[in-house]
Amino acid sequence: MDILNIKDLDVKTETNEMVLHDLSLSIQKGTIVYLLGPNGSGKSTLSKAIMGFENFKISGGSIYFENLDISNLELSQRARLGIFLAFQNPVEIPGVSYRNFLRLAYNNIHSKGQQISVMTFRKLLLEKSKMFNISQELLDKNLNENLSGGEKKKMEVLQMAILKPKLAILDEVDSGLDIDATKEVYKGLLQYIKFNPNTTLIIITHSLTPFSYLKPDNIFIMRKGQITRMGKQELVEEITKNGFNGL
Amino acid sequence: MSSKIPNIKKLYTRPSNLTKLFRQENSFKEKFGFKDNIVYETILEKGINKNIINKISKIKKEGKWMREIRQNALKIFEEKEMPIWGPDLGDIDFNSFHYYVKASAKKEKMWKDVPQKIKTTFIKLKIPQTERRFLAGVATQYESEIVYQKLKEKWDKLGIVFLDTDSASIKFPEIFKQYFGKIVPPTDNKFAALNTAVWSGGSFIYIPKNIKVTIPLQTYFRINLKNIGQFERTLIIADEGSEIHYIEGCTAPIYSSDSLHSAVVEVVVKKNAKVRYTTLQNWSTNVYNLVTKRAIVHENAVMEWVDCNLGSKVTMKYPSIYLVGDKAHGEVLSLALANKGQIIDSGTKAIHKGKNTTSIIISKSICLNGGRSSFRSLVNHTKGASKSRSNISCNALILDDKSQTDTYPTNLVQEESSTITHEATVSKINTEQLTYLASRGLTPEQASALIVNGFIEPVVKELPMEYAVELNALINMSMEGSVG
Amino acid sequence: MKKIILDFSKPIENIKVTENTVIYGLFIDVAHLTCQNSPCIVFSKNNISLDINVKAVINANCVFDFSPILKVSTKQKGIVANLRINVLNNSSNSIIKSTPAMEIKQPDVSVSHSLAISSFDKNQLTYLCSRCLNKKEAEQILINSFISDIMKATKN
Repeated sequence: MDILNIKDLDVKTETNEMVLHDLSLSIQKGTIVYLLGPNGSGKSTLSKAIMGFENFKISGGSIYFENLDISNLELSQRARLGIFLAFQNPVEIPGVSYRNFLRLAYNNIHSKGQQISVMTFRKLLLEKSKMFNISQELLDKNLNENLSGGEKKKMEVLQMAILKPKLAILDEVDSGLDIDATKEVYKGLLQYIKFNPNTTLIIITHSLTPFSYLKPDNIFIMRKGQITRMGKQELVEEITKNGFNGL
Repeated sequence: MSSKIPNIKKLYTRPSNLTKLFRQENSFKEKFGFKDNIVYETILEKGINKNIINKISKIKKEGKWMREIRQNALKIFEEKEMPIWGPDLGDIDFNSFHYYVKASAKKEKMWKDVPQKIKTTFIKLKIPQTERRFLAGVATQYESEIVYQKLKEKWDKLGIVFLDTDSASIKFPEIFKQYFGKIVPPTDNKFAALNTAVWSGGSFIYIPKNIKVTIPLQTYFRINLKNIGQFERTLIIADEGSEIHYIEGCTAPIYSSDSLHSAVVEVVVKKNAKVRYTTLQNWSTNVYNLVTKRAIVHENAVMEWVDCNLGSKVTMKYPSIYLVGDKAHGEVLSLALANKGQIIDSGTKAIHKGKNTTSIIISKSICLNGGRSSFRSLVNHTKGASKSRSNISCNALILDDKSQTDTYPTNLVQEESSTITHEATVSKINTEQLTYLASRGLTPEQASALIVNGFIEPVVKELPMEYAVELNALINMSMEGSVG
Repeated sequence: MKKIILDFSKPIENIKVTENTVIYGLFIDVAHLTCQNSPCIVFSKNNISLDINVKAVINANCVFDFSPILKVSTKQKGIVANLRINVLNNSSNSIIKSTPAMEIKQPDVSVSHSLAISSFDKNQLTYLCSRCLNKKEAEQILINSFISDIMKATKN
């Protein structure tokens, strides 16, 4: 089954600039997909359009999530359907404790009327944070307040592990991380996928590291707001040799 | 916040739950010989004049000296002008109030008469049933008396004096003469004069030297009818080396049929002493809440005002610190939530007289649904207050274009070696933050409430846990239906 | 970008901001001067940015009061304004006052201001003196450093 089906998508910014043009792709449920391309090719824009950011308007085409047309749904509605975006630049929200925020988000998506208890949630957090080697001190902090760039990125994948989305888009989740932290993130992701094999992942990255942990079922190359190539592992070798320009 | 009061900050517990107290009903009845249903009426006619003042003084059996203070204050009240700045107080008709109503004459209100909005708030804030009746002012005097006596045992054990101001003025006239009206003179402003003329009720607290009170004293449970009044007068004296935390009010809305509340609070913090005064004000939206609060802070002493204004129709309140002794330190943490139809005009005054005195002022204000919040401050480093330092930080959130937020921070330096730094910001809720939270499935209301609660966190974290939780719930309530 | 340079030798008039604007003001006092100004600053269009940078060096026996009031009405959206007032207090006999006020009726706004009134930084003075400068010379250097950004921007 296709979890995501995008047909002839045109996306404009608030100032009417066309940023995605005639874009089509489909992604099968439970697959790991890579979205690659040079800076400014529209990868983040596509992820924001899927998520439903207000400053991008769909001027043509449509986005189907599990055969439901989500083009007119609000951001938070799409999140509650099971779409997750790990932000390229995670936002700081002072004074809001991570634990409270995560429990609130979890209850919104998973509770079905019965709210999870503080204790049970604490255990869940502990379990998931171990997966990514995140210390308890980090969990006691406020939402991204005074965290380093790398710490913020790790917390993004932790949020994904807690919220258990059907489709997770990871926008450069490894940028700004040192080698060890990068490994921890992808090791954790690999483990998460093992336990949640129905999760569909879209990975946006400039690094080669993820490929050794999470084998691609599909790779999409983007350029100037359009998808220009599709392929599998062999594309990686090609890009490594000749860069994006060589494609 | 200052690290100078580590002990007091950690010891936050609400006094015994009311329900537990009521289980001991019978023994109290016997012990205090409580007779049911004594209700006698003393309500003086409306208006304020020399005769009324004399009657008030007579009923209270006051000494001549206090009567003279009242009469003098009445003259000042009649001569003084209304303040020429701030919210419009034109609706106040001084001749329409009863300036004295004896406590037991207040008709027992019925729960059914309490406005639905107030009842709904109690439910949403998860206030226990027994407490709701107190807050709505429908608890019987008997119930109030039980609570008071139980708590009094605790205070007596600590060796502190904590009683209503009326009784204290008769029991301790020497202390009264020394301090009453000296920190806030009746000439200060029209409402201070009014209060000095007709005051009734309030708290008198004296902490002896070097006694450190580790349990916060709260008026919450002293909402026995004796003490909730329009013109409360509170006097707190912390003798050398003592420590006290006093909490007034609560986050739950208090319904008052009186529409003018004009209280005066005078605090003396002697050498090396520490006082924290926390106010949670959530008067019903028919109330004019005009309060004068001032603390005199002596050498090496610390005064902290934590002032949360959530209710009332109009609030004008500027808890002040007069740092007269060297190395005196003062902090004011102020929170204002101005909702529909409300004007909260609050702030502070910090007057630096002693050397090496310091002050920190933090203000967080939110206005929504047409509310107006104004922050007014005066920080004055007088000549001689050498090496003094002040830092003022005001942040305001304005949520829609029906509301208004103002900031009027005055900074005055007359001393070469002193330093003042000040910063202020005004904005709406950050769109990026809203988007981020929406992407985690939060509705716009949930996201706004979370962000607003985060915004006020520096103030909320200084409140006892139960109040912090209620305050957060109150914010959640206020955000419902107010997000476009 | 419009540039306005405030002239403290005259009373400062109210300012109506019609486009992105930067305002500079430099007040270096001579003895017995009284400088009191409370200009009202308003905006006439949406989406304007305003940056105000005012510095004052107070030397002797003067009264300095700079208290602008910034107003944003319901109709003006997208205003981004920042006001900075810095006063170097080099006088034991002056009165320095500032009430940077704001009245905001529109949420789509980002307004901030900062104010600092202080004397010379002791550490900086000590450092300069340790390099064989006397107090007066050190103070002069610090004054020059204090006003350098405004001098540069106004090419005065």
